[in-house]
This record gives sequence, structure tokens and C-alpha cells, in this order.
Amino acid sequence: MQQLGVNTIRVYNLSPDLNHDACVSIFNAAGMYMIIDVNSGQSGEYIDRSDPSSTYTKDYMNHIFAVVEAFWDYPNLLGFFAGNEILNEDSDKSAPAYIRAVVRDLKEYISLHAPRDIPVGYSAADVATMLKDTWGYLGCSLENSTFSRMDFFGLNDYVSHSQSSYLC
Amino acid sequence: MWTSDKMKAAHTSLAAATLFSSFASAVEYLSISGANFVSNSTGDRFDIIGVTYERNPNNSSRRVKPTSPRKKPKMHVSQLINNTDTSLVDQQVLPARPTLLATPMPVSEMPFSCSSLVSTPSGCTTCRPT
Repeated sequence: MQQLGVNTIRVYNLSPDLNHDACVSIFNAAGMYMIIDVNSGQSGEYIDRSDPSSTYTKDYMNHIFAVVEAFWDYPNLLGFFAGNEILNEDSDKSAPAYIRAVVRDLKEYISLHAPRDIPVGYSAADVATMLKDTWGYLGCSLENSTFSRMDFFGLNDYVSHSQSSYLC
Repeated sequence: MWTSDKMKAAHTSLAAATLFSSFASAVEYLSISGANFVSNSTGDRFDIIGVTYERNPNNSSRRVKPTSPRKKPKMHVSQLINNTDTSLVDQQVLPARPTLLATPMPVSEMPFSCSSLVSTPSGCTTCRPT
């Protein structure tokens, strides 16, 4: 990856219960930053796009805060993704508000307890008809809002090359 | 990551980077300034360069079983929400945190389409719930 000029990796499905020092140190020494997804595919560790209220729970909050704490001391931490592809054609209409709520919760927790400011963003699905609205909704400032505006926006841009399983 | 133009720039950078050996070292904190990631020490813009790799779905990775007791966050949710200076304002329009109410608070209707987008003098876009 160094030879390719890679300077950032994105990692998801992380356990906050494990010690990540060795792995993170390798990437740090190699000059690579990390963007960490606080969600995973495990039950209770993600927001269900079809029924977000049922998964926005106390246990979920404790999980995402634990992930934040597990990584906030690393100097090569670039930011956290608060959500990944929560919005697509199957999403409940309330789902966007829950993304902003999770961004708010993470940024507030970081502001109160982390050793430094850490950006929080969202990673969007490759659904062309929704991207502009997603960008506008998550990036706009609300009156009297404190922390719910995302800091950065990612796009999972799925383009497969022929004769290869690699994506770019 | 931000715009198509920047994504093109990143691809260009990636192509250029392959021509040279990389001698990277330990990194410093980055922060956000305007629409950019920037170096805290120099203020220089940081452009993300990465590659995407997806494992064969038939060889998907398995979650490693935790080997130590689950670490509890330093501050419990119920303590966090007691910070009224910062935690309550957004609840007017966003879901309340789970521990605030015994039953979920109805989520306000948010204009996902942001039809009421307004550009502010600072260049930021604002939308207001309808």
C-alpha cells in the first residue's frame, strides 16, 4: 500500500474489546491514517434502516462509545463513520433523523471526553437519486443544533472492473 | 471523498504516487478546516488516497471472539444526557437518546429532501424543518 501511495485505510466490524495497539502502530509507522466505522453487522451494533427506532438503544450507544474510546488515543485516527449506507431505497422515512442523532451523540461524547477533536462523518450508498439530498440533509446546519452536522461525507462508489473482483 | 473533482484529483495523485517510492513515517493529528482535512502543524490540506478491496463473499472474515471482558465506556449514557448545556437542543428535532424516555420519542418529520435549503452568508447550507 505504501508503494501505491495509500495514506488512509477504512476499517469496520471492529471489536472495542480487543487491543488494537499492534495493528494501529504498524499503520501509524507506515504513515497511514484510519477512518473507523463505529457500527458493525452484529446485532445491537448498527442502526436498522427499515426500523431505526428499534435499534437506537442504550446497548447500541454503549457499543459506539466503546469503539470511540478504543481508538481515540491513536494519533493516526482520522475520523469515525457514524453510519454506513443507512439510507437507500428501502429506508424508513425516519432513518435520516437517526443518522443525525448518532452524529450528534458521537460528536458530543468526543467533545466532552476525547483527548482531541475527532471528525465524524457518514458513508453513503451508491444511490444516485439520493446522494444530493443526503449530502444536503446531513451537511446542513439546523437552527439551535449543537453537534448533529456531519464533518465529512463518504461515498461507497461501486464500480467493478471486468475480469476482476476488485472494486474502485 | 468529497466531490467528484476531488475524487478525480485523488486518482491522479494515486497514479503519480506509484511512480515514486514512499518513505512515510508516523503521522500527526489531522483536523477539519472548512471543507478540508488539514495538518494541525502546517495547515496543509490532506488528500485521502486509498484503494478498495473486497473479499470474496465465500471467504468472508469471521468476527474474532473477544478475549477480555467488555470495556465499559468511561461515561455512561445516562450521565451524558444530564449535560443539559449540550445535549438537549437537538432533541427538539432529532430522536431523543434511548435512556431519556421509557418509550421512544416520536421522531419529528425532517425534510429529507431539504426543499427549504438556504445558503447562509458564510457559505453553509441551512435547512429548516417544515
